[in-house]
Amino acid sequence: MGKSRENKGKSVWVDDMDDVKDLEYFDSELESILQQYCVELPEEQRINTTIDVLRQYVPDISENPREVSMMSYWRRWINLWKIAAADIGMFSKLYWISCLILFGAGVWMGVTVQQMPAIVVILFSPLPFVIGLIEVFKGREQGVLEMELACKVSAQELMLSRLLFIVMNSLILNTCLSGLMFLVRGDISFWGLTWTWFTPFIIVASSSLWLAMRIRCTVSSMVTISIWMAVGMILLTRPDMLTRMMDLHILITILVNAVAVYLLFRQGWKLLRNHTFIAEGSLSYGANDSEYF
Amino acid sequence: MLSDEELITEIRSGSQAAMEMLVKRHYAMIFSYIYRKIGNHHTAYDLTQEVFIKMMQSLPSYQSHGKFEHWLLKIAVNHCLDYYRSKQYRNSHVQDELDETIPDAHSNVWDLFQLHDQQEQAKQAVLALPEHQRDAIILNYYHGLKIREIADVTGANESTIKSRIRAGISRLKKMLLGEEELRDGQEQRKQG
Repeated sequence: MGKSRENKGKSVWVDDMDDVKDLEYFDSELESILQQYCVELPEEQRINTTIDVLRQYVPDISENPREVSMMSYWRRWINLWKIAAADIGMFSKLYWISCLILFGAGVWMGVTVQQMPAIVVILFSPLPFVIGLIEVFKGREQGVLEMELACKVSAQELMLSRLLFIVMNSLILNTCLSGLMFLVRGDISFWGLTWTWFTPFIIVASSSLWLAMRIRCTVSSMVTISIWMAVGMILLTRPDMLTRMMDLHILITILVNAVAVYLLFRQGWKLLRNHTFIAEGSLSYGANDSEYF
Repeated sequence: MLSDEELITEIRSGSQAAMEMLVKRHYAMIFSYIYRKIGNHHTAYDLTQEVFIKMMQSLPSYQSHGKFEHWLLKIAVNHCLDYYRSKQYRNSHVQDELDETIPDAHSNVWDLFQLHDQQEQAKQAVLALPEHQRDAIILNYYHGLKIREIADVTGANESTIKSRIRAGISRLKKMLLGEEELRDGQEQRKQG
């Protein structure tokens, strides 16, 4: 038994037994023998077996949708944003530098290219998201996610908040790029340009997330970027194809966008449900176990 | 660090990690209480698991009026009482008594060793206490609970707890220090 317990026991006896205290009842020799009585805890593995047995008693809210009120959805949504805000610092420098380079290159090319400025935003728009996917999954692949977890943030929430952040960051960068091109060039419509890049962005984003959840993210990002570059080359060499794509009926474009947005949300939801690993080793249990030994 | 109440809220909203944290935080307390009460490692492990199952089943109705660990200890105290009343205990108790009658080739050496093992002495002395006195001593001495808290956990009144502790200490002294030594001490104190 630790010293703290020794003191605790004695003080309780002395303080609490004041009214009944008699020297006859207190004996340091007895206390020293009682202190020898240590308890050996079961092995960690056996404690974990108990925990595994208890898992079935934790309510599964996903199976009980009635218990989830709209308020709790809102709270989770706000919480996700808070996590994303707190997690910005965890994104690697490489991601930020890549975004800056892509944005700079996009602005430079968008301003200098005389014909088909839309192709620049179309080609550049999905790239920050595809590179950002490496940040979303890096914890899973490098095993550092556990270290980053505080007790209130689950691994799934962390990945989803990062996903949310890279979507928002890509949207902001692309909107800024459209805005700058609109301001500098003056011969293009801001909304037309935004609508032009949004469709390929959402299609590439949802399909790259779909791919990243099935194969290693770094590999899937490389594959997506390669495919996208190949598409870009085709579009550059065959401008008629781009013109035909841009002249598609608005209803078809809306339908394609809706399917892509649905796919993106579905993948996000799957991410939350599928990666149900439990972070171990990072949790501060707050227990002073030696107290009871 | 999250409080027990915060963890409970998280568990109610389906957090497995919060449950794991809450169990790991209190495992040592519950296991050591049950082990000191029962004296058998395997039984203590099983009963600890059952106490945590009861805890999980009762969490939806848990209201934080006092300390969570006292509420949990209350479950453990009642569960041990149920165990002593159970058929399982009666059967194992009979088996233990039978085992004690079987001569052991190494008994002399073992007894000698045990005599010098203060930990074993303390364990046997605590286990030899009547059930209620044992509860009071374990909760008071090893878990640092105050008289009022023990009364709350065990459902007895404070004066009863005080007398149980007094009687328990008196018995422990007799068992661990010996009556003669005790009398000598009393005489010396009187002379002093």
